[in-house]
Amino acid sequence: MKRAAWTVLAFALALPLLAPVALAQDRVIDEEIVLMDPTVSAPQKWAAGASAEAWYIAGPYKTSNAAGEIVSNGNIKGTIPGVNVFLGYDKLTLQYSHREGTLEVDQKDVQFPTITTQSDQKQTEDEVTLRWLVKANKHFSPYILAGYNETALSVKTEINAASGFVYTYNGTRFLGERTTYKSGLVGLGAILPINAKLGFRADGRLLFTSAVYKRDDNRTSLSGSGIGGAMTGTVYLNIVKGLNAQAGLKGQVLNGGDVGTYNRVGMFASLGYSQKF
Amino acid sequence: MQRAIMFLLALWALLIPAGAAAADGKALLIGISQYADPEMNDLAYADEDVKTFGSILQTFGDYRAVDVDILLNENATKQKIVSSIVALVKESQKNPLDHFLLMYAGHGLPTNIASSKTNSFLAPHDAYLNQFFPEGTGGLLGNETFINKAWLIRQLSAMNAKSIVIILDSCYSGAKDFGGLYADNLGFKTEFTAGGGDGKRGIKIVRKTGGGGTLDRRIAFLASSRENQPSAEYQELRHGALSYTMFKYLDEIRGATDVGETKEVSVDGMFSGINTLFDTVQVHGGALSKIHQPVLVPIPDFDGVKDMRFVSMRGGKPKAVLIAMADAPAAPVPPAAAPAAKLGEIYVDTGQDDCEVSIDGDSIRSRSNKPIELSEGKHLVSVYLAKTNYNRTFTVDVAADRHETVTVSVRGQLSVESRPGAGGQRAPSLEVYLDGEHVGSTGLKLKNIMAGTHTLSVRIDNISRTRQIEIRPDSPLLVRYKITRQTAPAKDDDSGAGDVTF
Repeated sequence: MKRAAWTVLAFALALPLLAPVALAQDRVIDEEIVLMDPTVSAPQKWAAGASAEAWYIAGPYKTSNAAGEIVSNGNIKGTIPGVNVFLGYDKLTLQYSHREGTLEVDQKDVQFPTITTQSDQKQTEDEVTLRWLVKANKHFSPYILAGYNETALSVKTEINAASGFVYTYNGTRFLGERTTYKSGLVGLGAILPINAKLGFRADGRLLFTSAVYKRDDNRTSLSGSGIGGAMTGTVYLNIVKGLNAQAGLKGQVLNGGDVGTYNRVGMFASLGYSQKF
Repeated sequence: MQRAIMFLLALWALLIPAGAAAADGKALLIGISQYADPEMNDLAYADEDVKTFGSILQTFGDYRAVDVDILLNENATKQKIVSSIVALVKESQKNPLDHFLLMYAGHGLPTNIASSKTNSFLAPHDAYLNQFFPEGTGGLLGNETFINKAWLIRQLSAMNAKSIVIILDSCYSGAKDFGGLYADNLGFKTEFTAGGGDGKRGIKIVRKTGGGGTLDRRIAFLASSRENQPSAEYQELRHGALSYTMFKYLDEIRGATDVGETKEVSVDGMFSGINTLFDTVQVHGGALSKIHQPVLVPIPDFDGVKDMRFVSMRGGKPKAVLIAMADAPAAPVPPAAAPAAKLGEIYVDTGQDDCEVSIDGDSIRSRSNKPIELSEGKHLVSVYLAKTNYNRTFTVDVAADRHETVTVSVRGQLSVESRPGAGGQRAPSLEVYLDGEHVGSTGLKLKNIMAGTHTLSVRIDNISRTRQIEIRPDSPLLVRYKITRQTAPAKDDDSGAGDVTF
């Protein structure tokens, strides 16, 4: 009896050392599932970028007087390059543009054909535009534009010596003029994607202009106002994400009312990059 | 003092099984069917093959239970395998062994991965395939989660045993450089020649090319396939090919050896038997050897190893008895004419009727939940569930004129959970499907699933994940899905309009 009791005790003492764990441990397999979840995403709403552009103008050129009569005919040729920087949030983009270039104009007077002139038109343009891009569907994204444009046009004209004519205000063959056009602008446009890479862009703007003309003797100045406009139509290519190239046509009408009207039509190209964050 | 002695005696009685013979060998058996890495397929039979071999060694071989260490599935982690091998090596250096046997059944890696050589070799339960990294110059790829070939060889080289048998039932297991490196580690310069010695297929020729002296041990490295071959398991055989042929051969030996006798199974005999079975056993209309062929690397050479003991088997053949006749010399009489063997009865209770029961290999087939009459003594009983391809083998000791019910669980437990990928997020619920049938949502615990192979799928939104799982009665499985929510890419730019400047 005593021996049996000791055996039981020894068994009890040894048991914890020998007994396997009564409950088996769970065998674990871990896997990961990644869910794309728009409800927790923070969409990239900010965008910033810059673009460079060039507007090449070449073709016939006419000058009208205040009465709308054509006073001279000729040709115009030159390039106006420009840069744009922009900052966007969601559907709104604010852009600042600076364009500056010189156009060469050769003209012949309508009334006195022996008078020919050569002009250098230096056009300097500063513009602030706010664009609201509305995505209607995958192939149509209209936008609305509003902004301010200030264009200064400095023109130096020289009459050919053989004509014998001079400008009466200074008795020379040289005329210096500067016209400043200040315009509020509104416009409509649309981006028409064919696919994620390729598409078309077109917009038209109305320029509500008030213009001031000054001659270089500062004795003559004029002011006026009128409604002009601008149109752009391009084919675009999204080369890589954010990098956009465009090529097409651009036309501009600067209507200074009594001051006079300038028209330009030419080929337009731009290369821009925007980064979303 | 008397009490202390009695306590020690009682403890001794618990530690040493009654009737066990003194053993001169140790066996480490590693079987991994279930892997933690979702990228690694589970195997249907690796763990059960190793368990079966363990049962054979202990029931019909000359191994005591205390001399056989078995590491299975989640217990066969790298840390546990390394610790077990290191402990056995240290122990052998204190108390040299006559015989050491290592068996591994699980995934194995080829010598070259993506054109880079690797020493990563055997996959423990917690091996991860995606953790390969360049291991210095020379294009050697490493993966610390695998058992390293060079490390394993260093350990086996330090094992102080007169004879060592290594059985690898895994893909690409016949790595020539494993045998070569092993011999090199023993100071034995070797060269390997393709083809067999003495016309025997699959035996690598190891030649002493100088230096090294004589070797104080004999090593037989038996691999299920060549270094460039995968190894297969077959539903028809209910085992891996090598394990099946080993068991079959040992069963034949046992069946041909009288009860009470012991048969030494040699390396040569075992390898010849395996090769014969590889050529004769048909699966899917072809011999096993059409898919892969076993390889034997003998060290120091085949002649030195061929008679080496692979395992000793106790006979299972009823003895012929000598009947003395008055006018004739004593002559052996076939067993059928001998007095009938004493019989007992077992009833294998699995809780369901569609389990096949095999006794001692394929010799008797029956169904579970029916009485089976057997000769007295130890028998190897296999229970097989065809529906889930689950095979479980165990030993029964049948007593004469007695009925014994053996309860075998063939059901296991599965839990499926989801958890958030980051703090502050809520774990969404996943719909869970088992073998194509909807069984609930994550958080579920299924306690009564048939053991074996199943297909587990989970679905959320439009995403689904499917994997094969192995259910085991003694190893509850928990599958955890970490759900990470990521910001969806902004979709307002998919037309490209947002990139257009103006």
